[in-house]
Amino acid sequence: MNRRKFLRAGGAVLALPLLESLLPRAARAQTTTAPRRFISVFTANGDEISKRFTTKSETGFVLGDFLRPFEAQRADMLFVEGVDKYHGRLPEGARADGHQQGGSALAPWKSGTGSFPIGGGNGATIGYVLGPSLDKRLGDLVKARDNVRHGNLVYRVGDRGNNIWNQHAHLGPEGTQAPIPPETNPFTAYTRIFTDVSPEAREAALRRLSMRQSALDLVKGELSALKPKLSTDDVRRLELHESSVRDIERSLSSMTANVPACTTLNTGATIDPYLAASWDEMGGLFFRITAMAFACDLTRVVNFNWSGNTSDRVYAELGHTDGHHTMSHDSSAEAFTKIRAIHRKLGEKTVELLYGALKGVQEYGGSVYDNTMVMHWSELAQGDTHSNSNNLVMFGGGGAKKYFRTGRYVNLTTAANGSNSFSDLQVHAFKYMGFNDVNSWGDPLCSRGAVPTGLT
Amino acid sequence: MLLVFAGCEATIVPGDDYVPSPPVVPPGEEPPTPIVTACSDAPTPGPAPLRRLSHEEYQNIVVDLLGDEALARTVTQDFISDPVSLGFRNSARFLDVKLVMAQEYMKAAETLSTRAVSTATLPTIAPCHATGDEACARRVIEGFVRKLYRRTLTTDEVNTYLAVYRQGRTGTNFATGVEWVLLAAFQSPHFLYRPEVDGSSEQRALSPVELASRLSFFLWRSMPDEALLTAAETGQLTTREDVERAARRMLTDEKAERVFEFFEQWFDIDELPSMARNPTTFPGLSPTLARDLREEARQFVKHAVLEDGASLKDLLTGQYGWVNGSLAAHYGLTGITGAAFQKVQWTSGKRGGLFMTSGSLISHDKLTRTSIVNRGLRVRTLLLCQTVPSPPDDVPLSLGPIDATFSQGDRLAAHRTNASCAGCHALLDPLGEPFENIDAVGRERTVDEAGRALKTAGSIVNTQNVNGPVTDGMDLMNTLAGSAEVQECMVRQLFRFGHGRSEETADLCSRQRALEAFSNNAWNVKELFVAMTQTDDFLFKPTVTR
Repeated sequence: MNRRKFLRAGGAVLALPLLESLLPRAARAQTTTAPRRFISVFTANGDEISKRFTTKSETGFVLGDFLRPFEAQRADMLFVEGVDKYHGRLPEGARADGHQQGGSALAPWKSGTGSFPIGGGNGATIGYVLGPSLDKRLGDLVKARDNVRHGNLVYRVGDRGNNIWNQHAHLGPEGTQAPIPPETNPFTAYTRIFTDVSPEAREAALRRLSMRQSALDLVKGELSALKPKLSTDDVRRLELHESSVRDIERSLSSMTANVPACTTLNTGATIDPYLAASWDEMGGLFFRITAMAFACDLTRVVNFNWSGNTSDRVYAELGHTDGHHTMSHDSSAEAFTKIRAIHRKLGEKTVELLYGALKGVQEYGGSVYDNTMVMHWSELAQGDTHSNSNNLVMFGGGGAKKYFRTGRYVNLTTAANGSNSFSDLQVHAFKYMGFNDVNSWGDPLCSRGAVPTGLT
Repeated sequence: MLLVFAGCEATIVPGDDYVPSPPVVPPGEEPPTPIVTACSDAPTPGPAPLRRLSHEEYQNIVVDLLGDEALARTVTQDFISDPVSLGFRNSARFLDVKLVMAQEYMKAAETLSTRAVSTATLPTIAPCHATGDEACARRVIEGFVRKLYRRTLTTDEVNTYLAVYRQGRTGTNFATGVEWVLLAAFQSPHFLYRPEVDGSSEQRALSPVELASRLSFFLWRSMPDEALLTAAETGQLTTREDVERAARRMLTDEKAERVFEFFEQWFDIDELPSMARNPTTFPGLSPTLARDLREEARQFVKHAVLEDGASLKDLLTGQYGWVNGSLAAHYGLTGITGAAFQKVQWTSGKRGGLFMTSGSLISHDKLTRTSIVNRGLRVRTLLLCQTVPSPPDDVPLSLGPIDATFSQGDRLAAHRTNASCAGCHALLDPLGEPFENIDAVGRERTVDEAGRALKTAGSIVNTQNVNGPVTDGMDLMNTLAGSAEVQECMVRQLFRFGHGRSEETADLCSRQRALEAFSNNAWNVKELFVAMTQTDDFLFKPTVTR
C-alpha cells in the first residue's frame, strides 16, 4: 500500500512501526563526501575603490581598513578586483539605473518595463530583470541532481516591503519578470523549513500529514482543471503554484531528522525582526539557519542580503544620523569615512556570525565551513559615481579554498584572459558546485564571452 | 521606494503610450479634450489577468467571514510581502504562489479551519451542527464554501468536498470532517484567485457573478456580501445600470472605507511604519505618531471623499484635517483631547489636502531632515504620472567642497551646477522645495533644522499647461489641482490599482470615458470610482490569449 492510499484509508489509528515507514528518511542516502554549498552575501551601495587595499600584489596585498575584518580569513579567500557588470551595454529601455540593475547583477539580464517610474528609456517605466538569478538557477540544478528539498533560500535583513531596489533573487525563466521576495523574518523562516526536524507527537504528525495531503490533492485537481481556461501568462503562474504544491508534498514525504549533524536550533525568544536594533541579531540568526540548513541538506544555495540595494539604513550604532545611501552620494572624505565604517562593521559581523556559524556545525570530519563557498558582492563599485566597473568581489570559506587558489589578490582586467565580467565570474560558482558544462551565464551583452581564468 | 540621484542627463519624455492630456477647464463647464478620439460603442477591453488575492484582500475576507480582526491580522502577519509595481501591491503579474507563499497559505488555512470549527464558531458556520450528519456538511459546503468561492459550487465540486469531509470524518466527528473541508477550501485556487472563466474564451461581457466579485474587490477590497451575490445569481446584475446601482449602494457601506488602500498606496502612506526620526533632532515624538498620521489620512479619505463628495481640488487642497489629542499636541493645536479623531480647519495657509497630509508628505523624509528631492520626485511621478530617467553610471562627480552652512536647498542648487546632475534635479528640486515649510515630522515651521531661514519658492516645469513659479507647497497644490495632467493621472492611478496592472493602449477608451465622467461630475472623486465600474475594462474581458 502506498503512503497516500494508506492515509486515505484513515491514518489516525496507525501502529507505531507503520508510522516509521510513513515518515521516511531523507530521500538521498548520506555519502562519505560532503556536499558543496554556496552562499552569496550582499552589502549595499558600493565601497570606496581607492581604500580597498593599501598594497596590491598577488600574495602580499594589504587590506584597507574596511576590509580588515577579513584578515584572519585571507588564506581561504580570493579578492577579485576590476570586475565589471557591463550594464552599460544593455540597451536604453532595457537597463535600470545603477542601483537597480546592479542589485540584480546575480540575474544579469535585460530589465523589462512596467513597474517603476525611474529608469528605462524614452519615458517608459522600467521593470524587473527578465531572467533568473544565480542562486535560483544553481539551486534548480542542485535540486534536480541531488533531490535537495529547497533549491535556494533567499534572506534579507531589515524592512519587509519589496520593490525593485531590494529584491536580488529572481525566478525566471528567461524573458519573465518574477522577483523572489526574500524572507525577512528568521523566526518564521526557520519554522518553515525545519518543522519536521522538531519532534511532534507521532499520531498528531500523521494526522496532520493526511489532512494536508487531502487538501493538496483537491488543490492540485482544481489548478489542473483551471489551466485550460486561462491565458498563457496566467497558466504560467498556476504552474508555479502547482510546483509549490508538489514541493510541499515532497516535504511531507521526506523527513530530515535523521541526517547526521542535523538538529534543531534554539532561535531564542521571538523579537521584532524589523527594529533597527535587531538587525545584527537577525543577520546572525539567518546565518545560523543557513549553516544548519546546509548541515541538514535542506538546501545548498543561499542568497543572503544585509539589506536591499540603495539601502538608506541609518547605522545609529556607528554614530550616523544620515542613511547609508544618502551618504554614499556625498563625495566628501567625512562621508567616505562613514561608508567605510559601515563596511567594516558588516564585515566584522559576517566573519563572526556567518563564518563562525559555518565553523560551528561539525560534519564529515570537519565543519560546514569546509564545504561552503561564500561570495561577497555589492550592486555598485562605488556609490557616489554610480560606477558598475571595478567592483570588488570576494570569495571565502573552505569551499573557496577547495576551488580557487586562495590567499590572493587578483585584478581581472590584467588576469590571464582579461575576462572581467561579473556574470562570467559567476560561472565559477556553477563549476564549483559540479556543473562543469556551464560556461556562460546571463545576457551575452553582460559577458566578455569567456570565463575568467587565473583564479583556480 | 524613492531614491536620491547622483546625477542625470536626460529630460523627461512622456510614456510610450502617453497621449497628450486635455487642457485645463473649469470643472463642469465643458468636457476635457479626449486622450483618445477613436472610441466607438464596441467594447475594447484591455488585458484581464488572473488576480490572486492581495494580502489586504485576504485579511479583509477573514474579517468579513469570521468577524475577527485580530484573527485576520494574525493569519496574515507572516505573509511574505508581494513585490510593488507602479506603487501598488496588487499587481496581478507579481502576485503568484511560490513555495514560501504556498506554505504560508497552508499555515493560515490550518489556523482558520481550526478556528472555524471551534465550539464558539461552528454554530455560526454550521447552524445544523447538532445533527452531525452529512446533510449538514453539505449545507456548510453549499453555504460557507460558497462564500469562499464567491459563487455557487457545481455539483461535482460539492461532491469532491463531500468526499474530503467523509475522509476527515472517518473515526472522528462532524467538526473534524468540516475542518478537513475548510483546510482544502482555504487553499483552493477558487478562493486564492479570482478566476473569470464563466463563459467563452472569446471577448465577452462578464457574467453577473464575475461582476459581483469585480465590484466587491474594487470597492470593498473583499468578497461580495450575500445581497450582492444573490443579486448576481438572480439576474439583478446584468446591465450597466445594475452595476452602477450596486456600486452606489456599496459606496455607502462601511466597507467602502477600505478604498483608503488605494490612496495610501498611491501616496506612500503605507510606508509610514518604517518611519524613523532622530530623537535629538525631533525630541518628544509620540510613539504612536506613525499610526496617528496614517489614521489622519484615513479619516481624510473617509470623510472628504466618501461622505462629503470631495472633488480632486478638495482632495489636494482642502483646508482641513482630522486629529486626535496626541496629534493635536504634535501640531500645536489646543482644545482637542482624547483618542477620537475630529475635524480641524487649517488656518495658516501652509498646508491642505491629502498629498500634504503628514503621512504622505514626510513618508520619504530622512532621519534628521526633510528630503526635497524625494518630495519633488513624488510630485513628478505620483501626481503627474511622469517618469524620470536613470542617473548615469560611472559619472565623475566633482562638486568640490560645499559650504557646511548651506541649507539643503543651497546644497541642491550647487548640485545643479554639475551638468550631469542638473538634468534630473532641475525637474525634481523645484517641486520639493515649496514644501520646506513643513518639517520631517509634518509640523509647520519657519526655519529649517539648523535654524536657517526657509526658501519655499519653487517652480513647475515640464508640464503642458501649468508651468511657472509657485510660492510654496499650498500654491503648488492649488495649481496642480486644476492641471489636466493631474486629472488624467488620477484616473490612470486608479485604473492601475483597480485592474492590477499597468495601463495599455487597449484600455485608452476606458480611461477616456472615466475621465469624461470624472469631468462631468465636477471632478468628484467618489464619482470616479463609480465611473470606473462603467467602463469596457470593468464590464468586459478580452479574448483569452494562448
